[in-house]
Amino acid sequence: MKLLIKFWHVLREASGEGDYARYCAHLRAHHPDRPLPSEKQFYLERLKHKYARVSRCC
Amino acid sequence: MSIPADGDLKVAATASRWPRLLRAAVWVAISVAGAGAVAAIALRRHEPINAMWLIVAAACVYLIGYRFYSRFIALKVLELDPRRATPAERLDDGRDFVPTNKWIVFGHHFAAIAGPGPLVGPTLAAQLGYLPGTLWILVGAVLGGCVQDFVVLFASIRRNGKSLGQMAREEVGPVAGFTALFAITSILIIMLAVIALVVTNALRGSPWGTFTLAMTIPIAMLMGIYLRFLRPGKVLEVSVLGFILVMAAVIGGQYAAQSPLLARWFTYDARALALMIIAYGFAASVLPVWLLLAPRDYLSTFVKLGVIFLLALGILAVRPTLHMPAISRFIDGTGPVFAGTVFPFCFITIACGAVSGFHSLISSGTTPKLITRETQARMVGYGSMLLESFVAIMAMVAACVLQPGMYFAINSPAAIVGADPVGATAVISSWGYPVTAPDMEQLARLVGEQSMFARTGGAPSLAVGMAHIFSRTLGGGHFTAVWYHFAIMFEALFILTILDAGSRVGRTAWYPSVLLTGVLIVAGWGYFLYQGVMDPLGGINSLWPLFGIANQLLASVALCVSTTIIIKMGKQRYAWVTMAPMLWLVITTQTASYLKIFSPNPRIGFVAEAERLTGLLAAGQIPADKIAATQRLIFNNRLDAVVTALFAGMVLVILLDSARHWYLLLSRRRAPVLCEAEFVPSAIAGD
Repeated sequence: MKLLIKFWHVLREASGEGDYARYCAHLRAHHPDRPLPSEKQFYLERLKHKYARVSRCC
Repeated sequence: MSIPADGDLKVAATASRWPRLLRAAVWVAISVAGAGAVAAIALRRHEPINAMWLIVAAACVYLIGYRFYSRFIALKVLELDPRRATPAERLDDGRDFVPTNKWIVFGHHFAAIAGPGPLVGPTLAAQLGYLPGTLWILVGAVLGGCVQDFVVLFASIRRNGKSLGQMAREEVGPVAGFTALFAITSILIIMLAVIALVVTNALRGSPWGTFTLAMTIPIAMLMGIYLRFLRPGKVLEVSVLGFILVMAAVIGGQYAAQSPLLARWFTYDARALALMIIAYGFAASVLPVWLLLAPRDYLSTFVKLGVIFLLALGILAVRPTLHMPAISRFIDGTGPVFAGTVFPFCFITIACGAVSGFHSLISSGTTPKLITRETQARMVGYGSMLLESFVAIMAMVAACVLQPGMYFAINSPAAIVGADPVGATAVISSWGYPVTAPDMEQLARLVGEQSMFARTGGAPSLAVGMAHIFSRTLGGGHFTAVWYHFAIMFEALFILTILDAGSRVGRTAWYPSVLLTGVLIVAGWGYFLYQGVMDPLGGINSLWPLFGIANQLLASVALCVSTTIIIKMGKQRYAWVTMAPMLWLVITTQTASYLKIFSPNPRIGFVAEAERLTGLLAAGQIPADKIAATQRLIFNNRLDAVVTALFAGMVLVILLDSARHWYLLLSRRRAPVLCEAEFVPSAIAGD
């Protein structure tokens, strides 16, 4: 069971589901003055960024 | 500037509590096993061998390459410094630059570099027998491809994650910088055309496959809407949902193919499919990313990683016999899949899996911004490419488990063996690879297709091989058709993702420019795709070598930049590490380009084919209704010759420009100034 939970955490981290929480933690720690983006805003902004360059290979 | 890494070199070494002698014994055993397996696959010529020989040979070569050669590069050539803070640590912004667990970086990097290339290339090269391709995949990866990925990744980490184009401009010069950008754009267009051609050929006359792939579009959109409106960013749950729907579409395709109405809606010839894929490519490239591209990218990444894992398990469980001979008669250059001798054509047919220039774009993209410690570049850069090389070996196995006669019947274009089943099988049998028309009919029935003749492009024969392996592991013969269509769907799914992602590169936020660049890039690959579909020789014969040359051109650029950086670091005595693979690529691409342009054999030389057709036209031997098509063929062959010459010319430009630069550096006429970021000591403890 412990192993399963660990696996789920790794999967979340690897798939990018944890990105938003991590970014919020980063903002709170380093830039408490800046407003937090909503999860939707963050998701859309990251997608735009991700696909602006070659992200997949042959 | 870097501080001398005196006693710290050992930090990068594998610390182990094992006694030294025992470790040495293990490595001697691995070397002996590897040498034995390589000798077995090279020497047992007259009897079918088991695929495990290839797998063992590959595993041993990779272990030795990783343990010794990549360690040498890490410690002696690049002097990776674990005390130096990486951009992920220094510039940590919680978004782009994030110190990430090395296994997760490894997974991301591998998922980004592994595409259809390492699956299709070895399948095509299997016409030469399994030996030439296998040896090139092993040697090319360990000494070339992995080195390129590793050194470029290292260089980009030292430069805050700069791209290959930027590094070429800053470290070599503006000529190299411009050549790099031009090479990237042209390889992109040729790559998109050739992978679109692979999908077209796989779906031609296949209502089941076409239905499944068509269904992935609304499924992806559904996932996109879910991710955008219902549960933003919840990628995992939606991927599970999407996967279930896609599997339903794979199974449902069977019923679509059986229903007369649906079958009519989803059965198309190559020309119609090509036009639909072009239209799709344009539409997809102007739709918002969240609606189609992003959700399908998640889906195809998970499916891809899962299938690679399953294929490895399947091969280990089934341990199939390779029926293809070690060396086929087609090493003389007369092969039906692609024309040309082992040298140079084997080396450009298999690019991904051995050396792929495209990887240098990924190594200088997102990956360098995630690496926590410089020393991890070895495992991520060198290691991921070893894994991709292993994927190529598995593709080679999947192609060679087929009876050679069937392999050639699937992969030979009708223009070479004829369109009539009895005639085609007679021609192939006369080559010494027996196959009969009823065999092929039975195969088609088994995989749920109308015909398996002349399905060029590699994907169908790979899918047959995979279905063969999977259905012997799980579920017996009943599921062969489902496995076959699952394999086709898996290839088509991520090829569409790449088409879509590739058509978006290089655009700005300004909407008219989005439309314009979309139109230009789609028109570029669309033109070559259409040309390939209309080519009576099947298109793969002309386009795949162009793609190989383009990919190796980019690898030459990356290795030139790497060599320059190594020389500037004062490590000129180790410059051969990147210079040797670069010279090999220059020799193969130049020879291949020369032959593709000037060979008097019309199946190889573009000019010779144009002249042959012009001669036929002048002699009045072309029927009136084929005159326009022939004129187009003549034009396309000339265009391909010009494109090949352009690629070959760019290889020479970048080589001469770099060589001039190296001469100035080595003769001390130019000071070696590196454009690295400042050294900052790392604050992250541990490994």
